[in-house]
Amino acid sequence: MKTYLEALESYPRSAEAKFLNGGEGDCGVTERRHIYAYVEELQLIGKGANRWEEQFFLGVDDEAAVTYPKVGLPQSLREEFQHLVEIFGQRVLADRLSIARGTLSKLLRGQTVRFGKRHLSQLRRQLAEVRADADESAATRERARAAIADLIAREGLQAVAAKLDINVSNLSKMARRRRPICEAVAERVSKLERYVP
Amino acid sequence: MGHALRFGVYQLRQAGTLKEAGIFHAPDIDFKDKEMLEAYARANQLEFMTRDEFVEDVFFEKGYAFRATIVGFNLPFDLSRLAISHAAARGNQFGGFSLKLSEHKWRPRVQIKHLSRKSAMMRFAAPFQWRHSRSGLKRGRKQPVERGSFVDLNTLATALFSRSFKLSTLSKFLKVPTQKEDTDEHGKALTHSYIQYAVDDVQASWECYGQLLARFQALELRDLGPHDVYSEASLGKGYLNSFNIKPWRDVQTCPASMVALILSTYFGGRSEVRIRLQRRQVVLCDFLSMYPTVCTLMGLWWFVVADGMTWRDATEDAKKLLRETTLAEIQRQDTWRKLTVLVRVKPDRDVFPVRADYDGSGQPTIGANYLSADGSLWFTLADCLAAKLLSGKEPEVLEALVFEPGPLQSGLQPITLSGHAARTIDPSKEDFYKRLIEWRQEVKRARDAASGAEWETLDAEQNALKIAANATSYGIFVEIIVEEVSNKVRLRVHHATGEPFELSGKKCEKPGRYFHPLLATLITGAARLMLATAERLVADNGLEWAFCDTDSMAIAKPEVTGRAEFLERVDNIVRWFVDLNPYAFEGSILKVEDVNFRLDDTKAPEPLYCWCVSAKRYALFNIDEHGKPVLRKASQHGLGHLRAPYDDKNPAKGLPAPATKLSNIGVELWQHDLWWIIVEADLGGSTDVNLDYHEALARPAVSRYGATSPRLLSWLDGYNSTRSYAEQVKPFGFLLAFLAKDDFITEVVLDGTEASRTWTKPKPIAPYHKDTREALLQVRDRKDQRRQSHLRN
Repeated sequence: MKTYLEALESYPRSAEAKFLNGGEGDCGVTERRHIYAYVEELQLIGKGANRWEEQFFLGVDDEAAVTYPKVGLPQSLREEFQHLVEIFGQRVLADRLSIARGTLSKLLRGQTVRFGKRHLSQLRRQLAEVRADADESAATRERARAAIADLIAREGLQAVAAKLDINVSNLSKMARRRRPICEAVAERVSKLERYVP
Repeated sequence: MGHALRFGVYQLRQAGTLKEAGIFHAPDIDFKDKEMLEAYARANQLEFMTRDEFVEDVFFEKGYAFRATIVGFNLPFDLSRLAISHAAARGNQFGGFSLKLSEHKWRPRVQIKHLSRKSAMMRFAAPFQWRHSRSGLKRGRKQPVERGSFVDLNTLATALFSRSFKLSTLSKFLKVPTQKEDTDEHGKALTHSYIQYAVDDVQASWECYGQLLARFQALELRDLGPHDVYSEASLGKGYLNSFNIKPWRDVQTCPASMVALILSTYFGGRSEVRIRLQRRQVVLCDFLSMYPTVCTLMGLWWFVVADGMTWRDATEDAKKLLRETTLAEIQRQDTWRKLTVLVRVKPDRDVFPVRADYDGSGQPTIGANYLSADGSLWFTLADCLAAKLLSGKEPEVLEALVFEPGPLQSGLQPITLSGHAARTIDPSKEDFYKRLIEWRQEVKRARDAASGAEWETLDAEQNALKIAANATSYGIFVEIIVEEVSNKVRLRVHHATGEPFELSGKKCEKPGRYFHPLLATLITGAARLMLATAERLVADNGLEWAFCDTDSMAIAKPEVTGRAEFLERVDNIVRWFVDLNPYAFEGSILKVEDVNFRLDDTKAPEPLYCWCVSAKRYALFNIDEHGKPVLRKASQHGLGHLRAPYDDKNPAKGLPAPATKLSNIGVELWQHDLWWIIVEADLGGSTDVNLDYHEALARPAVSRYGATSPRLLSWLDGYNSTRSYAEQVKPFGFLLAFLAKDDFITEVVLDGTEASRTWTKPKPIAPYHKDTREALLQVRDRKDQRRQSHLRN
C-alpha cells in the first residue's frame, strides 16, 4: 500500500494539465492551450458530478460517469481511420492504437464498438500521436512506392519481388497503389536502393 | 451503538413531553453487560428490554402506528444497527437498502437511499398486508402507504447552517444544556460512564432537535416539514414554493432540442492557476455574492416568476453588441440586462471555456483555452464578451437567440422572512435576490456593532439570509437526478451538434423540480464574464494574477512594482466595480478579503503571499520576522479524501501551531503542516520538499467512506460471508480504502504466476477498524476478492 509519504510525494508539484507550462517540472506563468474541436467527434456527457462524493473518497469509478456515446463512429473519424490504415496498414495501426485488429476492422466497417471513457480518451491521445507520424510516414512510403515502380521498370516484377521477398501479386498492388506499403517493406526497399547503382 | 448492536437508548416524547425512556440490548449481549445495563435502568427509572421488544413495542407499536417523527443523528447508521437483515431495495428506491427490522411479515421494512454524506431518503416500505377497506375500495378510495417521518439531525443542521457537524459540535454550536462529549470507549468493556454517555447522547439529540425545529419553523416555509429537508436546496425550493411560484417545466413545455442547446452552453465556475510554483505577493479579492448579484444584474428573477419564456432570433443585435461592447459598456448595469442571449459561433482561436479530458484520467475539467473548431458551437453571449476581453478578438457570430421572460405567473404570494414584518417581499414586484442581499448587509452591519448573545442572533440571521440567497439563485436550476435502474431502458439523446439518437442505458437523468437550464447557464456565464473583466483590468493596470476560482481572484504584484503602488492599483480595480453594484447600499461588488489584513483585527493590511500548485491547490501566507510562513488560508484540494494521519494530540515536532483557528484557514492540522512545509521549503531556497516530518506519514494512506449502497457493501461480500449477521459490516457501516503502489503490477509480474500477469492495479478496501494495522489484516481488492492474500503480502 502507498504510505502518506508516497501518496503525497508529487503533491507539492502537482501538474496542471489544463494549460501549457503546467508540467511537474514547470513553474511560472501557465499558458492557454489551443484546442481544436472536431464537432462531430464531441463526446456527449450527462451530469459530470454523478456519485462525485463516492469517487472523491474511494477513487475514480469509470462506471459512474453519465455518457451518451454516439452510435458508431463519427464519419470524420472513420475516414481518418481509413486514411491511416492506408498509410500504416491495419496491423500496425491496431498495435499503435493498442486495440485489437478485429476491433479496428469493426470500426472501419462502421459497426458499433463501445469503449470505456478512459479507453476512449486514451485512444484519442494515441490517435493524435499517430496523426503526427502519418505525414512523415506517408512521405517515406511514397518514396518507397516510387522506388518500387522504378525498380520494376528496370529489373522486372518477378526479380524485384524475389529481392524484396514479397509475393509478386502484392508487389504489383503496391506499385499500383492498390495496397499500402508497410514499414518493413519500405525499409527493405530503402536497403535495396542503396545497392542499386 | 457500535458496529454490532450491543445496546441502545431511546426516548419517547409526545408534544415535547417525555413519556418514556429506556434501554434495549442485543439478544446475545454478555451476561455481565446485561446486568450492568439493567442496574443502570433500574436506578434511573428507565425501561429495560431486548432489541426485539424495542422494535415491536416501541418502534412499530408507537413510532409507526402513531406516525411519530423518528429522530436521530446519522439515522441511517442507527437504523441499520437495528436491522436483522437487509436487501437491495427495488423500484424507485433502487440503489438503496431495504432493512428488515422484524420477523413479522406485516411489519414494514425501512428503505434507505443514500443521497449524500449528509442526507438519505428514509421511509417505511408498504407492509405485507392488505391495507384497503372493502367499503373504501367500493368508493374508489385507497389507503396510501404510510411512509413515516424520519428526521436526521445531521441533514437538518447541515441545511440550516450550511456547515458540517458531529453531534458533539452541534450541541456545542446550539448551546443545548446537555453537551455530547466524544469518547474512545466504543467497542471496549461496558462501563457505567459509557452507558451515561449513551443516555446523554439521546438527550443531546432531543435538545438539538428542539433547537433545529424552532429555527426551521421560523423560516415559515409552506408545505415543507423538517423530514422533507435533504439539503440547502430543499430550503431554496421551499422559498419558491412559499411564493407559490410554479416550476418552469410546469408552465412551459420546451422542446427537448432547445433544452439540449441550452445545456450545451452550460459550464461551471472557472478555476485556474496562472502563476504556479512561484511565491508572489497578492491581494485576494472576491465578488460579493456572485451568483445572486449576476442574477440581479441580468434580471433573472423575472424569469423565475414568469409564466414561461420566449426566444427569438437576435443575430444582428448580438453581433452589434459584441462589436460595440467595451470595458466601459460592461461597467454599465443595463448592458448586463442584454446578456440573456445564446450565440452560435465558429470558434477560431477564441478564448472559450473548454471541457476536456486534459490529463487523460477520463475526468473532464474546464479550462478557458483557445478554441478552434471545424463547425459551429453554442455559447452564452457573456462567454463571447469574455473571449473578446481576454483575446481582443470578437468571435464570429453565426446565429443568436435572445430569451425573454413571459408574463408574470398568476397566484404569486408575498412572504415574510423569518417572521420579520419588515422583511415582507412581494415576488411580483421585487427582485427576491436583491432584497435578500440588501437585508443580509443590513443584518451584518448590525451584527458588527453588537456583541454577546445579540451578535450570535444576528449572525444566525445573516447566515439564514445567505443560505436563502444561495439556495434559490443557482443550484436548483441545474438540479439533475441520476437514477440508476436495474434493467436497461431505451433513451433518446438530444444534443446541440446533430440529430437526436437512441441508445440503451441504465442511467436516467431526471430534472429536479425547479430545473431551468437557461438560468443556470446564464448565471455561470455571467460569473465568468465578471472574472474575465477582473482579469482584463488586472492586465490594464500592469498587474498579474496568481489564481482564480469561480468568484475570487488573487491579484499578484509584479516584481518591479512597489507595494504602495500595487495596493493603489488593486484599489483602482476594486473601485471599477462600484458601478456594477445593483444594491441599495454603497460600495464595490469586488471585495478585498479579510485574509489580506493583520490577524489582530486592526484591519491594517499585511503583505500576503501566495504559493499555487494547480487549480484549487494553493496556500496564502504572511511571512513573520524570522522569515517563516504564517498560513492564512490553504486548500484541501487533493487532500480532503485522506483521513488525518495525526491530530493535535500527537502534533508534528518542530512545526509551529496554526496562527489562527484551522477553520479560518480551511484545513485540518496535518494539511496545515503539509502546506507549511511546502511553503517553507521555498522560503528556505530549496526546490525539494521533505515530507518526512511526522512518523505517521510512513503509515498507509487511507480514506474512510460508508457502505452507502448495496454495490459498495458487496465489495465486502467475501468478508461478510464467513460471519454472523451481527458481526458483518452492515449498510452504512464504514469501510477503508487504501492506495495500491504504482509499481504493483511490476511486483505481480515478478511473482511469476501466470494468473497474476493479467491483474490490473487493485483498489484495496477493508472493513473499518480504528487501528489501520488491524484493518490491513482484512484488506481485499474491491473488484476481485481473491486477491486479498496477495495484497496483504
